[in-house]
Amino acid sequence: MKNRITAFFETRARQGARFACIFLLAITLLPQAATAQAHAGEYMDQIAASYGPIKKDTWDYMVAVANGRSARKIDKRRKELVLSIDAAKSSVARMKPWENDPSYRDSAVAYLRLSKIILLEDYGRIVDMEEVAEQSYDLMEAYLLTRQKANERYKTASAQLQLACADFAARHNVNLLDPENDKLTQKMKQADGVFAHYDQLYLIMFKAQIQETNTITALGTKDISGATQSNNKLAEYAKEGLKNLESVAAYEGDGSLKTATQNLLNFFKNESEQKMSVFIDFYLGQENFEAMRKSIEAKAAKDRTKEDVDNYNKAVTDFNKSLENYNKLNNEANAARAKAINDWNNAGQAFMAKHVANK
Amino acid sequence: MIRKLLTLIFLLLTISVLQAQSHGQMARQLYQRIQKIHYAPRPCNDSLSETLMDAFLKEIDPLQVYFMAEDVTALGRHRKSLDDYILGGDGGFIEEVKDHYKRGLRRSDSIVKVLCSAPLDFKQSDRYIDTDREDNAWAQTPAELAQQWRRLLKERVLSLIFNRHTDSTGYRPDQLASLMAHEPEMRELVLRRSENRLAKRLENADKFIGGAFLKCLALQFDPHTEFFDLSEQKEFLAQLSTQKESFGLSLDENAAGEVEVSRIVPGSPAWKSGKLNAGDILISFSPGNGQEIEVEMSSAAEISSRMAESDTDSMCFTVRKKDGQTLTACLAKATLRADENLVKSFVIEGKQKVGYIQLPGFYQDWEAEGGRGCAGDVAKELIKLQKDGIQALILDLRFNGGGSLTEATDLAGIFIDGGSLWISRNSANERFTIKDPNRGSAYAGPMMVLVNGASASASEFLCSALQDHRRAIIVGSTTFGKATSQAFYPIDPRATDPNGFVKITSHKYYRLQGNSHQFTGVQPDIVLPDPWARFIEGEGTLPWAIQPDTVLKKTYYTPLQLPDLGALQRQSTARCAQNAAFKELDEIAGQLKALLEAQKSLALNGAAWFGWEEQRRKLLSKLDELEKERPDAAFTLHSSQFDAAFLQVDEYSRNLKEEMMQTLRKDLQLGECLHIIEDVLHP
Repeated sequence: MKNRITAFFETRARQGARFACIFLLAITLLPQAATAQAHAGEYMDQIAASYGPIKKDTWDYMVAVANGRSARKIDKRRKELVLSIDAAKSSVARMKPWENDPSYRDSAVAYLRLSKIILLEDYGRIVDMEEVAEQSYDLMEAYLLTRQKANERYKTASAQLQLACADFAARHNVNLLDPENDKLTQKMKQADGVFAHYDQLYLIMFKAQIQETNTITALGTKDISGATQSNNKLAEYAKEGLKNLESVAAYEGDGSLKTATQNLLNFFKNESEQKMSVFIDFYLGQENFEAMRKSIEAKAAKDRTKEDVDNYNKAVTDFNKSLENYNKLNNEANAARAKAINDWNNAGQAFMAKHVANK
Repeated sequence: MIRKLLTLIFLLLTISVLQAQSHGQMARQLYQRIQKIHYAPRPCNDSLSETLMDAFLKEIDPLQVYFMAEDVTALGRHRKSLDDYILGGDGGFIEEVKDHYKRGLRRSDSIVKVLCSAPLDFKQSDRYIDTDREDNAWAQTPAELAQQWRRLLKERVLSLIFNRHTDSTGYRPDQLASLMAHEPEMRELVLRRSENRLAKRLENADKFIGGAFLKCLALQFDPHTEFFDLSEQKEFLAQLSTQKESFGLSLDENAAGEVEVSRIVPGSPAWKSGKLNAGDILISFSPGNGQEIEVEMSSAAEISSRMAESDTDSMCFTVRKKDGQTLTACLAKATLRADENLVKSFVIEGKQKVGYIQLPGFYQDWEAEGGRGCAGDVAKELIKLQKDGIQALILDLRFNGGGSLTEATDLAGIFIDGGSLWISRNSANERFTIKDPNRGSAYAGPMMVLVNGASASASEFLCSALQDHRRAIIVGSTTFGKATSQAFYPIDPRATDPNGFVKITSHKYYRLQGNSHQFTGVQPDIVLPDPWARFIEGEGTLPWAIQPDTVLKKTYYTPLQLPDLGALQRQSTARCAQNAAFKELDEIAGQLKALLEAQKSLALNGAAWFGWEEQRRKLLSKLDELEKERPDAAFTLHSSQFDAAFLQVDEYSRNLKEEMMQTLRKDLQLGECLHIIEDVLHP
């Protein structure tokens, strides 16, 4: 299960899933020290300075992701960011404790180490995947649960770092100034909000989408049992998603992605109730018809009653009608699905492009 | 001539040595295989040797008529050495048993001939042979052995007299003398049959003894670790499959030792011939080679196994009908759709509309494309039933002995939205949680599962998961108690042409709270009266059954809410107490059980035996009458509308379903389930 979860994450990453938590990097900004105890303050500034290149590379990475750059380019930016984190981590780790107090240095190193792990999606090192596997009953739930646990862990680490910083400053009589609030920081904070909105809607949509995939896969192998179960869940998740959407606000007045999500969920709901259930019935009817055909063929022509022949002929007509209907609905569903997903992707790209400035 | 004779002797010796090696080596391979895979293997030591010796002797001579105390003493020298022979692949002991056994068969043949040459003395105070008694002793002298044989022959003669010379008008004590006048002809028949059987046993002694040793060895580990030779393994797998070739008739032996047609499968070649009926007595059969075989010399099991052989394509059966006329039906085997194995569903229309699904086994067709299994078939029936607007569902797992665990997992998933189902544990103490393979369910309405003591294995897994999730109300009686799983292995893993297979218990299972229903069974939420429960023995009564224990493992699942089960039980108990039919059935079942107990010490004379047989006949016919006279329950049954068109065309399925509906209309437990559903839906 653990390996399957990892493989699943890679697939999701390829499909454009984004992890809001990595952008905590953007908002966990370290304060600068005032000059009361210049030497301890300098020590703190030195740590904050090591963090500088990370900020720039994080922004580059965010822009690449937001503007739908190619997977190769996004990966390049990510690797650059990882290198920056590594460099910062080694530089801070090499520093000596301040007057035998390593607390701030160690907290910063621990935080950077965690940042790297999350950036590399190496969740097994920070989340108990055995526990995740046990607690979730499929990969989708494992994925959501891991994200949630990684997020929690990252938030805690960020809070701990802030706390360690404040404690260190208090112990060594350093007055802290507010973190630098330059233009880039502001842009990063805004981008973080954009990603959070995108991510929230993505997850609502994704929960239903995976059920749709499961239903289609089961139908493809004529697994009527699996298709029925997945389809029932698809309807449930689509309705649940639509309800959850009600409490999601538009992003700074921009409701475009929310509307696209609503449209996609409505498509899933209708598809489940009006198309998938017909497809399942069609396969069931096809099996029934085949059994009937075999039964009538097994009977010698002279033994077939008029009623047998009439019943069979009616079944042939009914089956042909259901086949025609199946083809019609299937074409409709395919076209509507392609449009709804395309609309959502376009809305997502437009939303990102609009709210995350390209440099 | 001498040279030829010497060659023959040399050949015979070679064959004998080869067999010794073969069975000895097979025993070693079998043990090694079990040791490696079994959930909790017993060590191969003196204790195993001793229990194996006892089981082996009981297996090959349960009536204690072939061996004498001197044989047992001679073989007893090896009592603590069988473990060494097994580990060393030494088959010398098995050869020694074969020699004693063959000598015993020849000795028995002489004794039977002598005993049957004169009228049997029914004045002697002999009693029925109760093989279950712990203090049964081996015959010390030829006279004691003859006495044992005399008991057996008397039992057979008395049984034949009663069944052949009394009729449904019943037996009266004043008929005793006239009945006993048939003793000479019945004794003659018993003699011919015994000679025939002893000759066949002698012919097959080598294979039988070797096979019996391997079977007993496997059973020393638990009741479900079993050795199979090639043909038995095929037969076992076919039982779980959905396709088989057959004539479509089942045979059974009646009390008189006659071979009787016990069932005709609707739509089968036997059914289509229109000549055969249940209750016909088989007189002779010809297995296609022109040779006519008299049935009197064969047992039902022997004929059935002959019928099942793959090279027997056609057979002619001559039967005596109930009115005395004789008929011959020549049948060609056909692929039965094995619908006996397939899921059947009905809509029950009473105060509520209730779906009913009967699942007799957890089958899986490994050869079919996509692997057709029972879980998928149940899901299809559920879709059909829901189109008919059912308000609740009854899943009937009574007498469902289990089958594929994968299917049980899939089936549980159909009813459970998601989550853990049960925990498996292997010999390395590795624990895994088995989960619902599909998110979502195919049916979310109220549900009841009907079980009895013969609901075993996969049935119990399904029940336990549904009970833990509080997804269904489990109704009936305590289930069998098997919470282990087995898999087949060739006994020699390197053999390209396996010489035998072993089914080994490799995993034990636990419920979501960490306890196991192994040994004890799943307790129903609502207990129903079950008159036949007294005849069903659970896992706990079997030798070497694996003991229950608990496991610590965190599982995640969200149980649902069920109505007040205590109140439902009280209402049901009160209703059943008022139901005279339950009471009558229970009385008859109780009397039948007591009668079976009484047989164990029955005196072997005409008055006692005929009196006992008459009592049994009366009870059985009373049971039939009760069933016939019982009014149909206050509900109607029909197939789903979805199947209506198909059933109109397919006579085979229509007949099968009609046959089932007739039984269900008289089913007391089903009737009570409907009352409980009413209590649930309209509290």
